[in-house]
Amino acid sequence: MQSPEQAEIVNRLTLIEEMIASGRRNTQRWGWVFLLWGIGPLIAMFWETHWPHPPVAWPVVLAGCTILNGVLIKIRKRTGEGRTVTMHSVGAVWVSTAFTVLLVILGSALSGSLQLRSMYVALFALVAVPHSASSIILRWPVQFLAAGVWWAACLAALILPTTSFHLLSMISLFVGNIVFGSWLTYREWNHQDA
Amino acid sequence: MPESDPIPELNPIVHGQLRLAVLSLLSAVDQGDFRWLRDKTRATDGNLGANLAKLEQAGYISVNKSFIANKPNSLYRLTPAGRKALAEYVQSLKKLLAASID
Repeated sequence: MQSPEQAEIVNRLTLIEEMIASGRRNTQRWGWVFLLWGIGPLIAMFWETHWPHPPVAWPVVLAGCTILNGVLIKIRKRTGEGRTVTMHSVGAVWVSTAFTVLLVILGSALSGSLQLRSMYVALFALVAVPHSASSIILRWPVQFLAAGVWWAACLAALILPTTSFHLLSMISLFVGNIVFGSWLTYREWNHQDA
Repeated sequence: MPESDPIPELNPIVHGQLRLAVLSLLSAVDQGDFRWLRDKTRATDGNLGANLAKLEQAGYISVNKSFIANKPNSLYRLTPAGRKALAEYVQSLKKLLAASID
């Protein structure tokens, strides 16, 4: 049985351990981003095939997701944050990729010069890169699996007929973003409940 | 009976529970803002502010005050002296624990 002094010492050590773990738990606060950018494009794909005014589906949804992304980040910042160079680096990779993806989509839509197959291959590859970089920086094997999903989609887009690209995109968005984002969000809630 | 190390004294600045929590939190990140520290430690504004001031006075943390959208924002960072003090405190705790078991 511990003496009061031993109990006090153990409590202090436990406090240190818990606070360090809590400080490190910033990395899992971004599950919602993957959910947003998984569900958003699925909505756009559904809209362009089932709802009126299909030409505006992608611009409206992408704009909406971008605005919502910004708003949610601002709300989260209001609750305070601990910053690390690591997360700043990971964020930089994602922001750069997002900008490049938007550029490719807008550029190809406006110019019409990019073949459908080339565009999908490029987009799938672009999404795989930040997943992969993030998984290496953060040492997260699970995120490397998400990168693998997008790499597989990229290779599949080189081989499969263009008529299957819609389905390929939906599967990749669901597995690579929504499932991954749900897992991240679950881990965040789990730690907060503990 | 073998000679044992002298019983270490615990750094009174680090020993305060809230200050210890703050130092531990900041050891895990490059910098943390006031709200983040408050939410993680569940301290009140006043209590946290007073303890942060003590840590800053001791040279264990540094603060960078700025404004974001016209609202004050304080970013706290663990100094090398603070990191060393925390590490020494942990070592002292372990020695105390070993001594109490012996």
